[in-house]
Amino acid sequence: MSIVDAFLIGMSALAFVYFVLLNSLNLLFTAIASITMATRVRARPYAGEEDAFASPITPGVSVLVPAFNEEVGIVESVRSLLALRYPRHEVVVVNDGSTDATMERLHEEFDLVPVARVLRNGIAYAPVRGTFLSRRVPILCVIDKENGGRADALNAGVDAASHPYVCAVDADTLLDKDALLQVVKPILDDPELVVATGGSIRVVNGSRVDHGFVVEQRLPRNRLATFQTLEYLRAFLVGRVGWSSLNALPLISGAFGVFQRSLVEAVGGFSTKTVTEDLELVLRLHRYLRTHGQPYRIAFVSDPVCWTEVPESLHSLSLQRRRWQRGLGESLWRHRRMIGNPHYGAIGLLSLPFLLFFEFFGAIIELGGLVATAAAFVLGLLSVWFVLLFFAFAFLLAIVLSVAASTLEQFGLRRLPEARDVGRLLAYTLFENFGYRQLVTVWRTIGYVDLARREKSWGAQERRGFKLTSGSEA
Amino acid sequence: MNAGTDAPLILAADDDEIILGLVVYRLEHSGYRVITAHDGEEAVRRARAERPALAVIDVMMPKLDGYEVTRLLRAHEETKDIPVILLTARVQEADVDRGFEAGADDYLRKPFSPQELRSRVQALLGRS
Amino acid sequence: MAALLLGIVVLGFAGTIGLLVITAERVLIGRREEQSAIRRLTPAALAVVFEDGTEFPVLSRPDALVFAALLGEFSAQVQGASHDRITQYFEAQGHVRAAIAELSSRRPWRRAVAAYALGDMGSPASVGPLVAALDDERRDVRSAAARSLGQLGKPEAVEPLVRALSSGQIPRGVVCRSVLLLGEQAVPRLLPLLTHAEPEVRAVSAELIGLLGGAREAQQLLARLRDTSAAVRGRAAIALGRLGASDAYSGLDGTLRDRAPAVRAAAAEALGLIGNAAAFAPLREVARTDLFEPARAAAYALGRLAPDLLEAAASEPGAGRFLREAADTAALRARAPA
Repeated sequence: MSIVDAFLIGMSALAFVYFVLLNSLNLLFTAIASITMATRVRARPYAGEEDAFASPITPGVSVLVPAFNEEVGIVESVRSLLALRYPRHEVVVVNDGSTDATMERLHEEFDLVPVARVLRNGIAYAPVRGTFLSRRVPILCVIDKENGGRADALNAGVDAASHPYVCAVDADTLLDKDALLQVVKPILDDPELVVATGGSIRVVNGSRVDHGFVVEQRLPRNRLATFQTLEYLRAFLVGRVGWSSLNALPLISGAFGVFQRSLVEAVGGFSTKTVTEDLELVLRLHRYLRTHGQPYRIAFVSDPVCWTEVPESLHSLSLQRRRWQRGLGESLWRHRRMIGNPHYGAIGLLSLPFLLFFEFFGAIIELGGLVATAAAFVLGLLSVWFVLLFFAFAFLLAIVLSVAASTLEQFGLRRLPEARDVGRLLAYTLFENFGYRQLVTVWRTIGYVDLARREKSWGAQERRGFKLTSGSEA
Repeated sequence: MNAGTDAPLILAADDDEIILGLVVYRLEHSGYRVITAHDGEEAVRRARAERPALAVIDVMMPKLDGYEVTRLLRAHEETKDIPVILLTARVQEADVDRGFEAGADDYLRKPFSPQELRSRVQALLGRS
Repeated sequence: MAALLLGIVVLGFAGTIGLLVITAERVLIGRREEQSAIRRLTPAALAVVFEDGTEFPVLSRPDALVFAALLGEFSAQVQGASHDRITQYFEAQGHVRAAIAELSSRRPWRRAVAAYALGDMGSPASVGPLVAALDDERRDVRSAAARSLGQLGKPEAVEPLVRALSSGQIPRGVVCRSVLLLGEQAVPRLLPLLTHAEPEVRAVSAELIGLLGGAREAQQLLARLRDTSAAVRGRAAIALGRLGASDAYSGLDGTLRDRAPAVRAAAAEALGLIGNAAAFAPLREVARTDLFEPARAAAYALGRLAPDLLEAAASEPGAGRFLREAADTAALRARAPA
């Protein structure tokens, strides 16, 4: 047997093991998520967010909105954040040196007046050009600063926030009315223990939006967006729930997370050196808190929903996935000491190795494995049974997982979906693994190249904004 | 018991269907005609278009909150004399002041007594 | 052999997929039916709430569940005669009895659902069993029982709920909300907790007393201004501010020089609430020279205390940025359009 043959077989075997492990783990998470979901749905009658709303002891939250060139959707987004059902919150918009009409829109809509708001200077960030309050809305504050990136803008927000908790939200995301109440609930119930919580993200493309709130949840028309819907379902409904139950939640998505303000300041704020600053911050929080020996919990709440617009073009999507891969690599490298380190508990022993092997190296293993298996089969090195078995574990099981996630979603939804959307989503689970997933893997692999080349840019985002339409597209 | 066409018209505004249902029922069965709104903007629009004799407005509503709606009603000629009762879940003193500052005439906390609401409505309508 | 294995695997997966799809379908249909039932039953439910002497409707079991849920939702929103009528319905239909019995169910979620529902049903007969449920082995059940006791508002719930504050067995948020609902009657039981061994318990009870109590409680809160824990000192200060106790002035003035910045901030806020004009000078000093938290709180407190003097204070040389911010903000609010 030649070296090439051995290599091909080895690669194929590795990929097989990889798929079996990955999908089995996901199966485990799905089981955990189902149980959690069942409890959750039963608990819903007695979860009682409305009670929290009336309480004077509910802690204040500063909602931070970093905005760069968001003229299309910034007003809608801010309006919806101002209208959130929460007894005590403020909205801090940080204009990160936009070159478009973002500030103008804000000025017009909210009648901004310059007020020299004092900043703590507890974290460093790019210079602030001005701070503004709104004549119309008492709880809005706008910080205009020079460009420094999303993390930098968030840091300015953290520095300026007046409440003990901060909620980092993307400018292009919409929150459900009760989302803040729900995501803060674990903190309210256990204020000494819970230091951060994360909410669930769903794809907004295709849904009908009115004045910044989703009024009708529909599947996107765009095929890429529909595939991403499935991905987000699996990630949030299944993945996060599973990790959270182990108290090893490695990631609170930057699109929607609540953190204790003083803690963020204590660890130095968000890192501007990585492109996925949310992941990196959570890792740093885990590290800091475990080093200090403080008992703590970072919770994931699967109910509250944050809606985000996902890329609909191949180009945008590829840039996004390359960026994620790059950011993952950067964050893992930065905290490499935590990987496999029992000193960091479940995070060190479970989530980080998982992220490293399955998320980071996964791309090359999957791609290499597929190519190797195909080549080995053609060369007659592998039996047809093995290939079919490989096929079953790599693809069929993945389909099962996607279908399971979609079904779980049905259980958990408060809204009633269209029957044809349910059918369509299920059909897409079939196609997801034949083409889409491989495409994403290719992009992730290119992400390695970016990482090696130390790419720094974000790439331009196409925005379509959220306007009320009579049709079904956002 | 359906009110005759010369019965006073009341605007009830709340985004919570349950509360709206309770308020509408209580008022309709007390001899009033009731129109409804589900958010602040609709409330202002309907108030201007139909000139109700009184408005019962929830403080927490989408688009415009109850305080804003009250302020807007007070700011315009056609609606400035409409008595306003605010409904709220909040418990703090500051909110009571805020309500009166905005121009509300009365203030009812949730959970509310529908009988109490009726009495307040009768009192305010009796006055004007 | 491999073929058999493969066959089993594929069939297993295909079967699972089928099962899941069917489940999703079922759930969808079930929820649609529920929604239409709600629409159908709402008028009757409203009639029960408002009409005297309404005959309680006879319903099929699934409808009866929806009906009860509807009334439960109404119950949470109303008080007075309407609320009593809803309670009568639940008592007459035997729902209260059934729910109390469910509190001993072997399934935890049934206990929790029952404990929660009893709060909405509003029957005083459930207070005793709910108090017992506060010691349930499951956190969910304890939470639901605590929440319901708050809704029922009976004095027998005060002692056990306040005890739950110190035991930590029930989420803090839930217990606090319920104690707040119980109101003034809880205050005598909260006072002893001000000297509890754990600082968090002292802090929480100080906060609750501030929200529920009156001037009589001021003395005991004043003593907490010298507590060893900063959290307690801070909450006691805010509580004194909320009570508006004017004789707390000298104590709070001293707390303006506390070693913890957050406590100084709390004292500043409290002085703004109390309204004693003598606080003007010390607050101005803090606003000019102290760290971020206390200085900011003092500046805004000054605005509350003496809004007319704020601008002048902010314009003085060396006034600092906090006074300027507070003055500008106040000016902005004063000119807010209608």
